[in-house]
Amino acid sequence: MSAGTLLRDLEAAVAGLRASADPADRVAYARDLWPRHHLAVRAGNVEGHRPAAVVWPTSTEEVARIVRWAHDTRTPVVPFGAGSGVCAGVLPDARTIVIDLKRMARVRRLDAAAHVMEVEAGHMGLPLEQDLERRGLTLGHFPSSILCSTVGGWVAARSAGQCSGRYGKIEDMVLGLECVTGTGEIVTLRHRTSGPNLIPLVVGSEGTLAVVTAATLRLHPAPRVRAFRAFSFPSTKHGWEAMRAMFQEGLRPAVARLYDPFDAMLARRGSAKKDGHVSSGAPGLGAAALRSLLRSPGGVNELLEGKVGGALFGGALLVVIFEGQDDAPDHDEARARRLALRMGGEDLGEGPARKWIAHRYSVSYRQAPVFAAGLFSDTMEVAAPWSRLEALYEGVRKALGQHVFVMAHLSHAYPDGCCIYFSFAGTAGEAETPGAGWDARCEATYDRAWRAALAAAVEAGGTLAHHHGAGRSKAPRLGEEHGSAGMAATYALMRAFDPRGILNPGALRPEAPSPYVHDAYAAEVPA
Amino acid sequence: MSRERLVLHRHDLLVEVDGGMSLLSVEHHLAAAGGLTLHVALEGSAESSVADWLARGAPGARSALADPADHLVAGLEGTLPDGRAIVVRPEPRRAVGPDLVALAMGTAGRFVRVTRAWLRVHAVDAPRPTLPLPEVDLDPPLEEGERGLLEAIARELGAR
Repeated sequence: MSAGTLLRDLEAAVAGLRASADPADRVAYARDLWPRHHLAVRAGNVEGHRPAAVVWPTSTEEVARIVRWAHDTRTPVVPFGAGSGVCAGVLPDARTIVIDLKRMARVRRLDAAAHVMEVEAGHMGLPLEQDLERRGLTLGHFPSSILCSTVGGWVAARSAGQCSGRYGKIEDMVLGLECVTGTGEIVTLRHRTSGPNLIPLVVGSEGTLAVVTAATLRLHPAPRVRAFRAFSFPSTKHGWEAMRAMFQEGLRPAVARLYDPFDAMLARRGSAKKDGHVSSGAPGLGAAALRSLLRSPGGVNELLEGKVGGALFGGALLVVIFEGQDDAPDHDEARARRLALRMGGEDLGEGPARKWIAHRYSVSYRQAPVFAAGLFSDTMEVAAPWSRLEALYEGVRKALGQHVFVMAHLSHAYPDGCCIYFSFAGTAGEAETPGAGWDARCEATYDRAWRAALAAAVEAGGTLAHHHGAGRSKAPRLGEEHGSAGMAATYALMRAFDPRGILNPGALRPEAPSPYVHDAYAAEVPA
Repeated sequence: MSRERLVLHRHDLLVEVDGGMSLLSVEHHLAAAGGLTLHVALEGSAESSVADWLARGAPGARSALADPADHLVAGLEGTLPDGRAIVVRPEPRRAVGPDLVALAMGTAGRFVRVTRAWLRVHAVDAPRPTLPLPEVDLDPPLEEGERGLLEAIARELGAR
């Protein structure tokens, strides 16, 4: 069935549905922000993965009618928020209908006294938080993507925000979900402290179990007081031991961010020019020089990770921000300061923490100039208990460092472990096939880096993803994280919620073909 | 080779326990190890095995809503209805699909029978951060749609 015929059939089944099979719309909804997509687009592959059509429902009942039609016709559907996912959670094909939920963006209920709100899945992040702030409330969820992500996307990917130390991740905020299962049935799932709780199954299921149409979220009083502090540590490890001590001694800084020496240098430098304008993010050294430098990332990484890096950049930087009411934040900050100083930290005052919060979202929107300069960049967020953190940090860093320039920060801590967020940049490496062009060689380097990093994460006993999800980019390794019985249980859940497998087919499935590269993340890792 | 019934991972403040151990026994071990506790109200559950207690939804444990950074169960091993052994490795958090721990918690052992668990422990005298809970029913009755999904999950997992 052609795209046009498919859409006409759907429109006949769901009267009044806003829909489009326009080529421009289909290109716009063909991908999320997975950087491997950017490489493909830069290489001229713009048309790949176009869906058959895009639809914009305005009610849960309309979503249910769409899904019932898809169930009856065995048509794949992919829920779509704002498209800011970075793991190929959205990857349609020519038969797929993309369901964009952004026209479902109402706040259905806000009970300030009970600290609860029900909001539709398509509500964008920043206006939601701004609206709450005006009412003296906060959700406490501030992902870097807050300008370009939705409530439904947060739920689908199991998102984390910058204030996770106090408010938790999105799974800690959801008290109820309204969703449409793969049969088109509308169900309401409710949080239970001690009975069966189906919410943790749907949160993080990346659209494979149900289309989330609304969420009931837990709210907090907006903080009236914030206490800022920053510390320098001789090494990243010294810094994370201080973070561990803070969380294990009952401190809950809303923000706790530890930067390795190079990342710390960038954080200290900040992103604001003297006149207050944010820099464009264009590579300052000049694109050509940077490309040349990144041709040998191993040497650069070794140099910067060692004593030279520490001496050049001034050690690791830990930023903490406590927030709440009355004198509690100041009291907690004083406790944290005593603890950090006892553990070898140097007090840097409030400045770096205040600077961080003033530019808290800037860094996430600098990717385009990097790609335009013939480079690429990406991030990888893994996690492990504290006792395995060093092995995870060293293992993934070394694996990535052979292929790309890598830096790291730790920004989501818990009493039992922590997330490590690697940022990396690379360029065209050695050609795998003779005569391969720049873009193909960039893609090959990118794939080699990810292949090695995922293998290292598994080897170190870390989880493959802390808050970006797995999509298709990490799915080939999921079997090693979950084991065969864990994958069997996951597939059983998919069949229970979606008997015909129409909801985002291919996501979270290790056996699904990897886009672009047949063996992108093959189980056997070449030396 | 049989595994130790209880292993304390002090660096992570986690205790790895056999599913058959009683909560009281776990608490005795933690106290003997040096002022540690699960911080669970034991009334009615002291003699319960860890497996049974988790299957009942861990009554007496504090809601994670009170301190969202602090989750009771970091990982578990268990048995699916078809006898296969499932492992959810202990991790502080993860985003790799549905949280399979939910199949074991409060489901009466119907989907996963816990054989080993990694639980958070606390220093007896450590302050516990507490956020005010939202004023909603945190243990509401099952909705009809939820019942249907639980039956479908049972069917797909081969549970009774």
